Amino acid sequence: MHALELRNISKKFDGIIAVESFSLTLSTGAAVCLFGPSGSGKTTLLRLIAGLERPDTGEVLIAGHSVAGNNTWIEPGDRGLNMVFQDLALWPHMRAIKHLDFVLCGRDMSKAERNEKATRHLKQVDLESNLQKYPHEMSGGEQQRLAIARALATDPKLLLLDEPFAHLDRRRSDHIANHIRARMKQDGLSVIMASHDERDAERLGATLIPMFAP
Amino acid sequence: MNESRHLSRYLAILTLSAVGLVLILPVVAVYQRAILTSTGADFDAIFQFGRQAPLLARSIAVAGGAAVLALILGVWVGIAVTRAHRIVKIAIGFAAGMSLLTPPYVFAIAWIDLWGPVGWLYHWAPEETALLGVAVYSLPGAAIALAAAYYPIIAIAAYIALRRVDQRWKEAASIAGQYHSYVREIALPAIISPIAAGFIVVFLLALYDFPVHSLLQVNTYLIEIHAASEYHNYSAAVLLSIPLVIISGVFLIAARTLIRNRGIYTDAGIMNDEPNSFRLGLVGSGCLVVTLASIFPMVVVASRAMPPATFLRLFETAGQELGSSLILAFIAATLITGLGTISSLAFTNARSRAAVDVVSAIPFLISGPLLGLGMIAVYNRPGPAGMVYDSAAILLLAWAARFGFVAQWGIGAGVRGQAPSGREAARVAGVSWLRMQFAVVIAQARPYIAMVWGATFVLTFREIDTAVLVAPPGLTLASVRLFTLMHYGPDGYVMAMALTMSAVMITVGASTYCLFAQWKRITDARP
Repeated sequence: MHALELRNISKKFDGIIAVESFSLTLSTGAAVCLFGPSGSGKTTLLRLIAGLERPDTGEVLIAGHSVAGNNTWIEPGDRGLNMVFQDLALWPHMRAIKHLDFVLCGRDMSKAERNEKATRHLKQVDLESNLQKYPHEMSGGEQQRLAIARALATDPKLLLLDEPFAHLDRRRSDHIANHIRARMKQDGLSVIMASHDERDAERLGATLIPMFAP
Repeated sequence: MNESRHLSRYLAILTLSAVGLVLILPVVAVYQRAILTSTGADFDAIFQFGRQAPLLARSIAVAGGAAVLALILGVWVGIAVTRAHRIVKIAIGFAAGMSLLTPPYVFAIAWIDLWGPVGWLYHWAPEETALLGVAVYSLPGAAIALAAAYYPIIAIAAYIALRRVDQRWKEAASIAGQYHSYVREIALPAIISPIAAGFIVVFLLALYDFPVHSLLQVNTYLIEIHAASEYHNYSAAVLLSIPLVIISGVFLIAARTLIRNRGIYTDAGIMNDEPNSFRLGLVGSGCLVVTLASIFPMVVVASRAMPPATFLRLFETAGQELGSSLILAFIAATLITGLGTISSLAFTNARSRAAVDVVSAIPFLISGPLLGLGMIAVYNRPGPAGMVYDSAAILLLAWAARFGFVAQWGIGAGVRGQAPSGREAARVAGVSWLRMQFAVVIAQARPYIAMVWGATFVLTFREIDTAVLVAPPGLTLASVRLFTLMHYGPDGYVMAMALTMSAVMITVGASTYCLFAQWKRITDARP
């Protein structure tokens, strides 16, 4: 079964084509990198998969189930995926540990279990000394790692990454990429990433999918 | 997860019902009653140029005069604050804030005390100057009192405007050889819109300040509308309000457009490359303006309120009024802020939000006395409506209608200012709609919610225009009592009451501002 399947997806904004008849198949545990210049529709495609936009035509299938198109609509939170946003979308009023606790809340876990899991995930991205910090008290790289930890904490089957290594130096990028690759291997996590840097694809061992402005 | 869409829809329906019941019904009722009871003579009156022209001229002259004076003082103080040392900046900010939180009618009574027949200046000034005292109850007097109360609005706008001007813009223009067009094309457009918005806000507040117009005996539209209201003459009150509503509606839309065009705020910019002596002069003169406009009137009020025994007498005789006002303002502020928060969450679509923004301002625009008449038309009848009318709930509803737009606009701005990706991140992570609203949207809008609560507390605590018409029998508010006593002159008891009420408003205003600043530091912080 494919982790993700896009069938002839198209999307226009005010008559301007953002994505046109795009199809893609992603196997479980694999990674692809949407590679192209600004305006080529990479972020729009990720948002269509996440359920933050509705496709005009075409169908999105996750783990074999249709989630958008053909009169079907599944809300983003019920698609079993998570996303790292280009602007990171951190909540400025929440401390690092609260970011993870907040997304874990309501998942049939006790407070202690949530706390343990949040701490573990933050440790995995080297943020153990930043648990009680607000985003503005962290560097750009630390914020990026917090966004990745938050996305991984919900144990998604599909991870969407929008320019995930933009704020990280080479060493940190490799470290985070290794962490994601381990999750791909252990948990069958599939990754779809948008980037304009070919090295990002290499780090994750992702297949490059070139995109061009429609 | 269709639950989220349902909840959002229910919230919108709930809010629309509340908006309809609280805001629209009294407005519709007063206009409907006016049309039904109007005679041909009433309609003729509106076209009587000889009657309308002086009213219009006086209303615009008071509001325009106050706004121009406030513009001069406010820009001056705003510039001085950008150049001042941190401690001086805090001191100026506190004094100007005190001015903004003190009801304008307290400035009016201070003005009367200074220049009136028993006033300090009247006695001490040379004989020729003392003649000015004759004109104490005058249009310029009202404009001065209103400018002293509202100039901090323009000072804040000017300060924000100056923070917009980034030094690097000038450098970039200079490098490109465009230094001469820099002021015209770059600096001025960045400065003008917030200051113009501040000017319009002061104009509108001054236009609608019934207590000051009344105390200083300037016969404006508001006074005429109030006189008509006292006789329950709906048609006269409504017809008189039409020019006022048109003028203020145009100005309010202009202000909203200017405020929306916010641009980028920066600390990098404030142009401060002038000599030290110039800067010292600027800051010194700014301090002088604040001392004369804000501190001096309060000193006048405080000195007249002495000895302390006056306050004891005040608490013995007016303690109940003060207590009732405090409790009702607390409940009203909480109610208005709650409604504003729900409405901000319910109307996320830009078009519907703009419509609700405009509708929420209508009860304020038709003026306090007319809104009071509307409340009477809706609730003064047998049955459950009558029970509301006979209780303090009528005041809460009237204030919610009158000041609902403060919450709608203020909290709306806080919600609009949030990056949408914050909500999207919660959605993608599977956080429920309700939890997201509380933990992400409302939590980030906390600074604005606190500020709106403080502002509505202050506005309702000092409100007179509507309360004087709809307060139920047996319930006297401190503001109404003070307003009544003020007409007998500025004696110690009146001044003690004015000072006590001002102290309450300054304490609440300062506390909510501290909360606002503390929370805003976190939500606006950048790494």
